[in-house]
Amino acid sequence: MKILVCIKQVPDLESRFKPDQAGVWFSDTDLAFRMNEYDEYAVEQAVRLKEQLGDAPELTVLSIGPDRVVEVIKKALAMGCDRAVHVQDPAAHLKDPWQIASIIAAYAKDQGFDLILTGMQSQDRGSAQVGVTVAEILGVPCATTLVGFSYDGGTVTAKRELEGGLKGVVKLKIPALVTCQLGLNTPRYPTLPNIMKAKKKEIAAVPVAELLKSEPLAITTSFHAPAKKGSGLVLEGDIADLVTRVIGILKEKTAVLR
Amino acid sequence: MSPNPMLFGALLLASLFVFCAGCYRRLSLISLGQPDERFDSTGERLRQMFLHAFAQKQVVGKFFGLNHAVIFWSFLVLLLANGDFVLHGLFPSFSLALLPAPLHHALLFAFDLVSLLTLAAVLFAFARRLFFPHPSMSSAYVKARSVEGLLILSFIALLMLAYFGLHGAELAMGKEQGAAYLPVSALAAKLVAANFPASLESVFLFCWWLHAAALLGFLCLLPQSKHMHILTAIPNIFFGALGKSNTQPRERFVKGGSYGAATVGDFTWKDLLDGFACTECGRCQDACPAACTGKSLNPRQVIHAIKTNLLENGPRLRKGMPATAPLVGPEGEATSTAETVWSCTTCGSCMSVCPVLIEHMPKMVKMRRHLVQMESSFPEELLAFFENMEGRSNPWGIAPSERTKWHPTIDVKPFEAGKTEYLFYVGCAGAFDSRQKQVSVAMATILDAAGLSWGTLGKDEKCCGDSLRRLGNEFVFEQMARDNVRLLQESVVKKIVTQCPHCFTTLKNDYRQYGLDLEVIHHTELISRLLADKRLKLNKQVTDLGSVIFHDSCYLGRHNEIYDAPREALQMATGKAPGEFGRSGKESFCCGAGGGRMWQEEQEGERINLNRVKEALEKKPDTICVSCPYCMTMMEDGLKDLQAGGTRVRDLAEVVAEGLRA
Repeated sequence: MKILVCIKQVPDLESRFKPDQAGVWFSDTDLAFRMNEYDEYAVEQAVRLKEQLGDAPELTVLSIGPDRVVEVIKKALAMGCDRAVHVQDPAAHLKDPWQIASIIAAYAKDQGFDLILTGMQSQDRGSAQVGVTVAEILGVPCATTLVGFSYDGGTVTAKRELEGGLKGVVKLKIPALVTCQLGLNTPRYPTLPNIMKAKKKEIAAVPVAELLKSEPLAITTSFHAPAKKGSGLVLEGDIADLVTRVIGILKEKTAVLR
Repeated sequence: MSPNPMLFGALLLASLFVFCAGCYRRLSLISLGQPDERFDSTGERLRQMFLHAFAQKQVVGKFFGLNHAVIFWSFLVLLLANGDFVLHGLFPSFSLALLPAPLHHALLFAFDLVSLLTLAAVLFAFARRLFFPHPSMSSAYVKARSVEGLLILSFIALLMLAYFGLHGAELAMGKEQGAAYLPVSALAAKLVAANFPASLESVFLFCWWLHAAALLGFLCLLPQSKHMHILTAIPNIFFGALGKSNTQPRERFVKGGSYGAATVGDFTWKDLLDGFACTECGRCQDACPAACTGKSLNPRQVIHAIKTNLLENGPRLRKGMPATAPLVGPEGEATSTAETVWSCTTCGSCMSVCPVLIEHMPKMVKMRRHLVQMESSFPEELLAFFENMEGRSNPWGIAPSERTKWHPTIDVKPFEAGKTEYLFYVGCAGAFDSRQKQVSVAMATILDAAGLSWGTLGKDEKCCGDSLRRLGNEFVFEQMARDNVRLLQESVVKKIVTQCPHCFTTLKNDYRQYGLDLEVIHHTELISRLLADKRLKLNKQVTDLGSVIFHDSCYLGRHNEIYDAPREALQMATGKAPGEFGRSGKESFCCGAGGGRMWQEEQEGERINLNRVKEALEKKPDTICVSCPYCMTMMEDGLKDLQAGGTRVRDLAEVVAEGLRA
């Protein structure tokens, strides 16, 4: 059995974002990067499946981006992936979801993967299109937003999160693709021996030009903070005084006390 | 007189064999331990041995310890008496009477007197165990009224009674001339003569053999029992950590290695010796904040478990077979549970009260290291903590760019190499915690008022990694330590002031292992010094805070022995000495947040911070003064939980800064 997990390196969402020079994406300066949270669930689920099947599957992790993405690839290897593919692309952030999906599909099409796992969406761009598009290009069944996963004899049973707290269960014959959502599992903290072993695992570097043959379908034209509309008011001082002032403001600016 | 040298000799040989075999069986297991350099500074070690073993410094720290001291010192004298007994028993011609008369008489008098003292002390100990045992005398597997404990006391009592009996009989028969030097035995002689006038010889023989039996029985029992400490305590003190055991040894990260303590053989030989030196006195149990609040952790049981584990697994490990009882696993006499290992606040109270200088804390951390690094097994709350530390270098996972957010209220300059004197190491709490940010501002106000040249590393400052290290995540700690040491060395920092005792101890003691050696000073010390030198002049005496009680932080007090500086500063700022908790100074009770406990839930037993806050409220203070961000959080939370609205918490810096207001 061959399994592929696709992961993305995203900036720490606690950071403060500034537009880059072209004004079409955020600037990398002063940002700390980590593995996309939803992709961590995908890696964890893939490793659990590998453990369930007695280490038989070969687990490949793939990431597209500049040199820094090797950091998250290493984490996935430390969590239990066997080998890695780094699609080298310093300009990955300028590619639209269609192109990203095309790159992954171009890599995967001759490899005979039985199962592909991705995150539900990325925390930065959040298009939630890459996984499903890969499935479409490869012509394999796909289930999204997984909160439950089991595998038995060539069939994936996937529990999906639907609107309003409802859950749905779907079964897919492999080869298949699933996208993973919060609640699926708790990603493991790699043990030190596994971190050390990961350093020896193969990371194949593939220039993006070898895989990318398609033009973008959508282009990000602008990246900016929302325009400021009015501002909050912070009152400070003695409580009794504050109460009087709040009542004054409510009377003056709202209808509640009239 | 010696009744039967041949028979006695045979019995002695047999007893010595049992004794030596018992000692060998146990002590040889110590060689399974990992290397540990404890053979340096012989002079210092001898001093430590004299102080803690022969002078019983720590033992007499508790009232009843005096009883032990009496037994200990008496035993030293009785060693001579019993040496004489054995030699005379084997070789009837040998006698102390061969010594010059004054010396002989002095010895006789000493033997007689200390035998009486020992008898009295043993009776006290008996009564204490039977009638008013302190709760801390019993642990899960060793009880105050244990057969072993009572048996040992009985042996000693019998030894003393037999001593008086045989000397009494000798005196009554006129075979011993030194009646004047044997006042107690002389009394026994009168009793014997009055009650058994016709059978003095039989009384003598009975007492002699009783004495021999008690002595040899004691010898046989010794290595099997906690009284092994008679043999091991003194060497254990000699090899004890010099100075404070306030940090943990570094780990060597080699490929294919195993990290932390997975089996008892992963401990050092000194860790294993500690197990055999434990006297089961229960003082650590009585001082431990976890044990005192009903948690499964009992430091005494942890040591007992290591010893039991070694006895059980040692012979197997020596043959290269796997251990049967795990070091950490389901509850058992030879096993500590995971809850136990994660309950430790690393407050160091166990180590500070241990009369034989057992080092509990490094063992806890070694077990945690194994759980974290090899098993990836830890309380789930710690997953986020570890990831926050790795990704954002602070426990809360706040963006590193927010580190300077407390600045806008005050003028903070960056540290400049060669120009700035003090690096103010703000710490994560000081930079991110909304309450502690006020302390950072107070500190900055004080530094400015004293006209000191100071600066911060701003956004470049990283977490010191204290909690990581105490939680056993040594691999990540090591990376942070190396980065921080490089940063501090490249910035040419010479003096650092911290407002957090955890940053303080880590920079000062832990980073020394990574080659950082500079002046690290806690703000309580600096403030106290500035006030004493009149470099910091207050505009007014601080009276608004009412009665102030001072809570010692474990890492400032016990681990670094800074007790006076904060109290002196409070005295100078408020005009009167601060109030004290029932448990203060060296005996201070932890707030519950150290050792990475800050980042875990506290589900077992009473909350440690509530225990401490209740203790504070007994003194009805208006203000609890702290010197640590963790203590600040725990005290404030405790006051809220107990709805003690009348009492507030202030950091020492805030109290002093109050005096700078116009």
